[in-house]
Amino acid sequence: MHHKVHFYDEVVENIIVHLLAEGELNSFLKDLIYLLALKSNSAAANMKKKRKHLEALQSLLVTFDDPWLESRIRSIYRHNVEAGDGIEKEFLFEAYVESRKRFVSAFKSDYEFWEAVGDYAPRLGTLKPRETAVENNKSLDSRAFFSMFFTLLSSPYSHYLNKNLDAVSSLGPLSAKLVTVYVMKMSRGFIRLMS
Amino acid sequence: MLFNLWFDGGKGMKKKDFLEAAMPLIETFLFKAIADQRGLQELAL
Repeated sequence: MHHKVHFYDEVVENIIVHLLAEGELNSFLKDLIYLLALKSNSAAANMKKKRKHLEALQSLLVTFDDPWLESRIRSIYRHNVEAGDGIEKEFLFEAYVESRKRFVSAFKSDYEFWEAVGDYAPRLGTLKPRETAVENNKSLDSRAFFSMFFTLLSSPYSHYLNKNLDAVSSLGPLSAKLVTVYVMKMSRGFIRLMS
Repeated sequence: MLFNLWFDGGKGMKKKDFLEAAMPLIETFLFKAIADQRGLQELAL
């Protein structure tokens, strides 16, 4: 199970990078929001229906083949290099295909995430769901918390965020693009929310 | 791990500097999104 979780993470990260470059990220997020909405409306569903829904969601995540995505991304990258198409795509693909080291993860654990919230965004810390609430999925505040992250990612907020990050000179354009890949590790988050 | 954030490490940027610049912006826009969402819900009611 542990390795599967890493696999889900990798797959979802790839999907998001791919969709971001293609300009399709918002439609993907709409689908995810739809799935969450289905969950919130299915409180009365029996266990069999819930299990079927979870299986469908898992299959959605695992039917993507990682090497296939890699080759697809490289193919688009080659096409873009030849066509000289789009500065935004160039930044993203260059980092993804030519220099993966440019992707630096800001957090090694959830603890580091909440530590950064405490240091630089304390108001955000007031939204932190209780540990038990996340595990048991019984609290509205944990559900609301996750939906807020989806809201942030969806247009038009991601556009405003990008614009403001562009204005922070120390970050630079690539960082401004990458920071919008602000991802709750969706796969595992979903598994927890759905189970 | 539920949350992650990536930044450009190709220009010698330090994590601390990145978080110091990015986290307050994320915080601001999250609360703006929440306020807008609530406003829309109230309008709908």
